[in-house]
Amino acid sequence: MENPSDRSLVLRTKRGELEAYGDLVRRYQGLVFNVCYRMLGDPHDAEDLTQETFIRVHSHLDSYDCDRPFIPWARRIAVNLCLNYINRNRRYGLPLDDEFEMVVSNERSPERAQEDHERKTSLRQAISMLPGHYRAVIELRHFQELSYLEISKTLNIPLSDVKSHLFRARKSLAQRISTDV
Amino acid sequence: MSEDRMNHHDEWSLQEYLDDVLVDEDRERLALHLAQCDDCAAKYASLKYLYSEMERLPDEPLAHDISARVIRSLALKEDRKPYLYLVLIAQLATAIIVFAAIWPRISLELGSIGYSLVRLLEPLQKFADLSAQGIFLMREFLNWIHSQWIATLSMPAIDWPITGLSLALVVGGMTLLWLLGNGLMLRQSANGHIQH
Repeated sequence: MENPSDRSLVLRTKRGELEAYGDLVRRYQGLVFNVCYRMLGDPHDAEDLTQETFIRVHSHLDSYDCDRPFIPWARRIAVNLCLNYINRNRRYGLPLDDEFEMVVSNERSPERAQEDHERKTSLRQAISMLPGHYRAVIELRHFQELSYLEISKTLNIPLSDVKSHLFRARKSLAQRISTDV
Repeated sequence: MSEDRMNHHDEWSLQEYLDDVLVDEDRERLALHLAQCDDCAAKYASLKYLYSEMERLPDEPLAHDISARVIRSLALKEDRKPYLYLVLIAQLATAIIVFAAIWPRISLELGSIGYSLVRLLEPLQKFADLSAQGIFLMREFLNWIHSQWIATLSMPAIDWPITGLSLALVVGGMTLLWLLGNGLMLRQSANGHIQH
C-alpha cells in the first residue's frame, strides 16, 4: 500500500486522528532529532526536545498551511524550541562572546583528529559550544539551507544580525576546526 | 565592492562569496583576487573546508521511537483539557469570592483608603459578616471541645487570642495563595509538560 502524503496525514490529524499524527512523527522524528542534536550536542536532551517539538507542532497545526511542505516548518519550530532551551539552561549558555572566543582559542582537540569520526565529533562539539543564536543561524543556513531573509523571519531577528551571527559563528568554527586538524 | 573590502582581512566577503549572495561583478572580482592572493586563498580554503565538513556531517540515528510517547502526551492533554478548564474556572470563582469576603475587613483596617471600595463592595458585606459568624461559631466549637475533652485530660486551658478578623485574614490569604498556586501548576501541567 502506498504511503499517505504528509498533507493527508496533517489533514487527518487536524480532524482529530492521533494515529495519523503518530505516522507523521515516525516519518520525521529522525530529521527533527538531528536538528535538536546539532543544536544541543546532547542526545538525551535532543530526544526530549524532539518530543516537545512534535507536541508543539501539533498544537500549532491550526496555523499551518497544508499546501506548504511539512518538515521544513517542523524543523524551524525545533530550532526555535532548542534556542529557547539553550537560553533557559545555564549549562548551554556562554553568555559573553569574549568568553566564547577565549574557549575557542585555548581548547585543543585530541591528537587523533585525523580520524573521520573524530573530525565529525569535533565539529559537533564546536557547534555545541557556540552561543545559542550562532548555533541557530548555522543550523538554518547550513543544514536547512534557508536564505538570510528566511532565517531573519524564522528567528525574528534583523537581517544584519543574521549576517553578523553567521560571520562570527563560521569564523569561530573555522578556527576551531583548523586547530583540530 | 570597494577596494578596502577586498583586502586580505575581509572574511566577510569570502563568506558571502561562498553563500553565493554577491552580485556578479563582485563575485568575479573576488574570484580574480583569490587567484592572485595566497593569504585570501588560504582563508577561503579554510572556510570552504568548514562548509564541506558541515555538509558531510552525517545524521545520527534516533535511539528510540518516540511516536508512542508523543501520542500518549497528546492524548493525556486532550483528556485533561475539559477537566482543567473547569477546575481553573472554579478556582478563579472561589478566589474572587474569598477575596470579596475578606476585602471589606481589610479595607476597614486600612481606614479611609479603602472606604470607596467598601462602598462598592457593600453587597458582599453580608457575606463577610456571615463568614465572621461562621468563624465565631468555629471558635465556640473549639472552646467546647476544649472544655469537654481536653480539660478531661488535665491539659492547661488554652487562651484563644485570635480574633475573627485576623483568623479571616489568615484563612482567606492562605486560601487565595493555595488556589492561585494550584491553578498555576495545573495550567503549566496542561501546557504540554513532557510525559515519558
